[in-house]
Amino acid sequence: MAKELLAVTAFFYLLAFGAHLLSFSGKGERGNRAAFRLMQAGFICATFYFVMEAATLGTFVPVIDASHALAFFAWSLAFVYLVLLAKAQSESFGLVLTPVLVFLLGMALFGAHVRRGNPLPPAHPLFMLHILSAFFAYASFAISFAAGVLYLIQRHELKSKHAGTFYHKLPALEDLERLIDQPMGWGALLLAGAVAIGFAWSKAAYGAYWFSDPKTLITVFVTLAYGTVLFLRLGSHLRARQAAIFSVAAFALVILSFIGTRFLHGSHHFLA
Amino acid sequence: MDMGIFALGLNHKECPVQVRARLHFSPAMTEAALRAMRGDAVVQEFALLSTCNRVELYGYSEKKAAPRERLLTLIESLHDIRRAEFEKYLYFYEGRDAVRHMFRVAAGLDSLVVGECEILGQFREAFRLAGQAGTVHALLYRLMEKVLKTGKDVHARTKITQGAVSIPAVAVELAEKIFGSLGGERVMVVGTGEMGVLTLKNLREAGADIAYIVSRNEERGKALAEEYGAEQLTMTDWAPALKNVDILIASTSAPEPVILHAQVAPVMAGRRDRPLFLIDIAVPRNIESQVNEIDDVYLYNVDDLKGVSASNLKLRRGELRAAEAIVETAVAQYHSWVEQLSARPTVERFERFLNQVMAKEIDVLARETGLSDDKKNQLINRLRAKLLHRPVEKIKEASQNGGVAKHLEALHSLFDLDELD
Repeated sequence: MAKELLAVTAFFYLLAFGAHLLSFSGKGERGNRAAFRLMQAGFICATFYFVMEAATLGTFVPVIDASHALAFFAWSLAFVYLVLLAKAQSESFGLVLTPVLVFLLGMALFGAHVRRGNPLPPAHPLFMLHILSAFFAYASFAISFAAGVLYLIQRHELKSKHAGTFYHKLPALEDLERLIDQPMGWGALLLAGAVAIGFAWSKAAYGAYWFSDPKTLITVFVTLAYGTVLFLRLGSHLRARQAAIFSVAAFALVILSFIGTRFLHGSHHFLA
Repeated sequence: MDMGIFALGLNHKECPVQVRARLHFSPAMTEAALRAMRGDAVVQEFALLSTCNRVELYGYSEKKAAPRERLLTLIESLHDIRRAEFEKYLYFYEGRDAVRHMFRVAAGLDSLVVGECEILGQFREAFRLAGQAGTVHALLYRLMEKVLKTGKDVHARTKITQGAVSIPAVAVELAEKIFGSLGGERVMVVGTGEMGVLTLKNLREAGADIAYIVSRNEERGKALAEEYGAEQLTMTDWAPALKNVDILIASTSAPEPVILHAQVAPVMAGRRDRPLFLIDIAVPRNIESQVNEIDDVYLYNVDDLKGVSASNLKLRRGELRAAEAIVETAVAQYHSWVEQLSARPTVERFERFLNQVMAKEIDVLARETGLSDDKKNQLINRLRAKLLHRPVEKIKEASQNGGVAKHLEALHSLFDLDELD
């Protein structure tokens, strides 16, 4: 039943993508509103899924394997977009984010089977906090990624003086710039917090820090990269275009660290 | 009945601007025209719309052939122009065509710039004046209401008003695509040509801060600087201020570029947190085209602005079909209302006929059976409602497609309604 709920969620997001596409191409005037409602429906289904999983597994944050991790990533992204960034919602954002959601849920349903290389971690409050911080950081980076993609498209439209559909439908450059920088800032802070909490928890639970774990190393690297870019942006040393390119490239690294580490051995193996 | 509605006029499509200007009705002349038409024997209802792109006279006349001549006489009497000079540019619509024309004009579908909104306000004002002068009654009043509502519907339900079309408006639209809200964005204008000043005005209205005025003409520069609360600079000392500027408008008459790549590049190298929007309205160009290659600089010259305008206009034209469909529905609804209105006297006669027949027969029945007056009246009312229901519904249905007349003729001939007292 739980898996079916996840499939329904993916289906809603897929429909939302279609509605966004219709609205964007000017063929469905009400597409944008319909897409938003479909995303809400999908988000509610995903929330039910996690409530059911939490009840079944007896844990507050039911993330115990790769499938859960990917689905929870999608849930966090939908939460940040639908709830925290309600004012920034637009058909162009939806158009970029819904395929990401479908991809994550598709991977959760078909691409990631349950493997439990290590015993399940205990339901320690620090572990919960670690998971939540990390996933909301990833969701923030996804928002920053979407804004980065849209910024580069709109910039191209304005530079090439082509007043086409993208020019009309996409938000202003400076608005997109804010949506690159702000979520990047939240994400970097949350991820730094997740790493620090993760260290504290591993020390408390296993008596050792997981410095040599590949996922930990990549995550530390990602945090430092985002932190450096933010520092340069705050000091006005980096242009918006460069920040946009970084937000897109760095998100690829986030996805890589998320999915790629499943092929690497390490202490995060239960997630991979 | 709506066959009596007419629209006579000329517009930007056929009539040269010189002739239009001579036929323009000033507010005083509009008032005089309305006064002249109040209580007119030929034209029973009348309204007049005069803008820089069109002069149109609307009304209702029971005499089909006469209004055109009456209106031409009116125009000649108020303007210093002979009929031969403007008659060839005139169009004259009657009935449903006139109604459709009014809907299209008010919705901006017949405008020089398709979808412009100003015409709706001008239409509203024209009918307000006609209403005030007492030249508008039931038919035109209802038509006016419908025309204004449909105009608003077209603007709200289609994208026909979207996308700027004039050069200054396109400049503002582009600035908003770069900066979002223009509140606080600092503007410099180099050269005070007419188009430059107009763009400045538009940017100010959109919330931008007019910071610097650069002009060769010191007096004009000073006047503008005072008007906008800006700092006045000369053609030799403006460059250092460029680093403080977000939007720059160039509109000098200089024969070669006055804003060079070599000036802009160092400014942008030192500022990585803000884009710079350059609007080159001058012909020949005032800004070197290579400036657009600098990161975070967006340079648009007149041809680029015209390109955006053409693209926006194309977008608006793409909405024409949807807008025309809304207009066509409104025309049909108005036509249906007029048809139903024209059926009212016949239906009332038919009702009287039924009353007479029923009263006579039921009186006989009442005498024979001892039916009380209350019961008798109830029976008459019920029978009348049942007998009228079907024909009235049929007439309503027929009013949707202009078939009321044949039903009315049938009622008249079948029941000899003309001979009814």
